[in-house]
Amino acid sequence: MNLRRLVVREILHRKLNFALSVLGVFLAVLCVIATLGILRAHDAQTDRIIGEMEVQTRDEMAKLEDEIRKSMKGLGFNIYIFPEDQEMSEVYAQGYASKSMPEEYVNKLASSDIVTVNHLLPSLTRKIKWPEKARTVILIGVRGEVPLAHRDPKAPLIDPVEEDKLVLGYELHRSLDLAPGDTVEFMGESFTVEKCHDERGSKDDITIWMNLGQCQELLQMEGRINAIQALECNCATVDRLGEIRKELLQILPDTRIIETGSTALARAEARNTAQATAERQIAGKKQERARLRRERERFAGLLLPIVSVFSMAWIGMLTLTNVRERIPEIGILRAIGVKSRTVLTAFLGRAFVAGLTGAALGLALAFFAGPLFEENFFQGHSISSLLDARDWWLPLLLAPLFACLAAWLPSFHAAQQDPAVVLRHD
Amino acid sequence: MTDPSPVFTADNLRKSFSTPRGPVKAVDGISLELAPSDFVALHGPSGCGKSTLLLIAGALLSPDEGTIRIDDADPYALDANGRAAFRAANVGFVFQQFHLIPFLDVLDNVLAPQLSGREDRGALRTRALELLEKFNLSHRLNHVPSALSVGEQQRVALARALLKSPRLLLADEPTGNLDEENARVIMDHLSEFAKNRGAVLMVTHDPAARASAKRSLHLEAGRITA
Repeated sequence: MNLRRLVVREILHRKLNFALSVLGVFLAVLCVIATLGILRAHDAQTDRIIGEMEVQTRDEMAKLEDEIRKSMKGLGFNIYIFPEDQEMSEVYAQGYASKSMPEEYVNKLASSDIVTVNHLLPSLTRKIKWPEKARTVILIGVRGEVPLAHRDPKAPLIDPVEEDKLVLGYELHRSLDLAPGDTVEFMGESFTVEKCHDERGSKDDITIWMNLGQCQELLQMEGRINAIQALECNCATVDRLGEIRKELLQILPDTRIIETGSTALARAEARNTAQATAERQIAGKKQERARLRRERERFAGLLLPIVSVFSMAWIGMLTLTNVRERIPEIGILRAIGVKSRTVLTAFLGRAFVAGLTGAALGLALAFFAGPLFEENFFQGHSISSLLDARDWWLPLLLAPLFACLAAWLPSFHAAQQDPAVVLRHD
Repeated sequence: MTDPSPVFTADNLRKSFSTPRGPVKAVDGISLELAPSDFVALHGPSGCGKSTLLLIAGALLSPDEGTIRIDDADPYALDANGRAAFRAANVGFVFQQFHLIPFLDVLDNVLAPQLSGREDRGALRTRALELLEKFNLSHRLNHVPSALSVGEQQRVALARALLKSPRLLLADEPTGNLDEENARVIMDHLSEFAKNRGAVLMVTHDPAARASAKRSLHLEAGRITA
C-alpha cells in the first residue's frame, strides 16, 4: 500500500468527480490551444498577404524601372554634358551643340569613381546636307556606351554602330526606300544600312547614326565630341541636378551640365508615386492586420483568464466535494497515524493527475481533430505547423500545476481535519 | 510475575466542551491505569464521556487538564506529526462504524497504516496476510468493504488495528453493529490480544462484551463511578 495506489484507487472509485475535473482542464487546454492557433494563423496569413503584396509591388516596380530606363534613353531623363562655352539657346534652337570638346572627357569620367550616373554615351551631332540625296539630315556619331571602370558591367543601353554601317530614321528609309542590307553612298563613302527605326515622331525620324570614329573623320573633327549623355541618376536628394553637377564638375570643370527630358522625369515621378502608393497600401494592410490582431489578442486576453479562472474554480469546487465525501476516510487515516502532509499530497496528487490527463486529452484532440477545423479556424494552416514544441509541452506542464493550485485550499482543508472531531461526530 | 510498567496511565484527566448552553464537562478528573494484558470495558449512559476518554487515550484529543502516558511516553508532549507517528506505532483503533476505506480492497485496508511511515513493507505485508488468515479472511483479500458482511468488515478493521502490533488497543462499541456470533468472534480476538500482553480499553453498551473484559468501569457525568 502506498500513496500512489491510494490516489489511483480513489480515482477509479469516484470516476465521475475525477472525469469532471479532467473535463474542466481538457476544455481549458483546448481553449488555450485553439486561441493560440487562431492568433498564429492570423500572423501566418498576415505574413502571406504582406509578402504577396510586396512581391507584386516589387515586380510592378521592376517593370516600371525597366520602362523608365528605356524611356530615359529615348526621351532623356538625361544629363547632357556640353562644352562650357556652348550657348544653350543654340542647343535648344537646333537640337544639338555647335561647340565641341575632347572625346577624352568621356574616358576621364568613365575611369573616375563617379556615383551619380550609371551610363555614359558620347556623341558628335551635326545637321548636314546629305550630298548624294540632296536632303538635310541630322548625323550622329555614336560609340555606344562607355563602361564605368569601377562598376560591375551592365547591359549597354545602346549598341555602337559598326564601321561602314548606318542606322536610319523612319522618314529617311521610308522616303529613300531603303532597307537593312542595302548599300548607300553618304558623303562619298559607301555604307550598308544596318537597321531602320520605326516612326518616332521626332527628329530621330530624319537622323542617321554612324560609328563615332567615322563620323569624326567625315566631319574632320577627329577626337572631338559635342555632348556626353549621362543616364540614370542615383541621387539621394531631390536636388538631383545639383548633386550631379557637384560631382561631375570636379572632374570636368570646363563643361556645363543640363538636365533634359521632363516626360521621363514625370514618368519617374509617377513610378515613385506608384511605389509610395503601393508602400502606403502595404502599410495600410499591415495596420489593418495589426488592428485585427490586437482585437483578437484583446479577446484572447479576456477569454483565457476567464476560462482559466472558471476551470480552476471548477476543479476547486470538485475537490471540495471530494474532500467532503472523504471526511470519515481522512479521519481514520489521521487516527491511524497518517500525517497531514500525506493527506495533502493525496489530494494534490489527485488534482495533478486530473490536470495531466485533461491536458493530454486536450492536446491529443487538438492534434488529431485539428485538421477538421483548419479551414474555419486556422485559415487553412495545419495546427501542427502553427504551434511549436513549446506550445505543446507547456500546457502539459502548466495544467497539472494550475490544477494543484486550484485544489490547494480544499486539500489544505482536508489535511487540517481534526480526527478527533471527525470520529467524535461519527 | 507482574510487569512493573503499565501500558497506559491517565492522571486526573479533564475535558470540557463549549455548547450554546455553556461548557459541558465530558471528562471530569478521571485517573486510570492499564497494565499489560489488561482488558477494561467502559460503560455508562450516552454522553457520559466514554468516547471522549477514548479519544484522549488515543492521543487524538488533548485534555484540558491531566496527563496520559502510553508505554511511559506522553504523546501530548509531541507536535501533531510526532503524535501521529506515535499513534501509528503504539495505538490501534476499532470503531463501531469500522471506518474502512471504501475503495481499497481488504488487503489494502489492512495495510493502510503503511501510509504513516516507511516501515519494512514486506514484513507488514506478511503480517497483514497472517492476520487475515487468522481472522478467516484470506479468501476475501481482493474484495472491497461493500462486498463484505458486517462481521467481516469489523474483522478487517481489527486486523488493521493490529497490523503494527500496538501495545494499546482502543475499541469504541466494536460489537455495536454485529450479530451475536460475530460479536463473540471479535471479543475473542480482543481477549487474545490482551492475553498477549497488550492492553485493551473498550467502550461498550453490550453486557456480553463487558463480560469478556477483565474489568468493567462505569462512567457517569465524566467520572468513574464504579
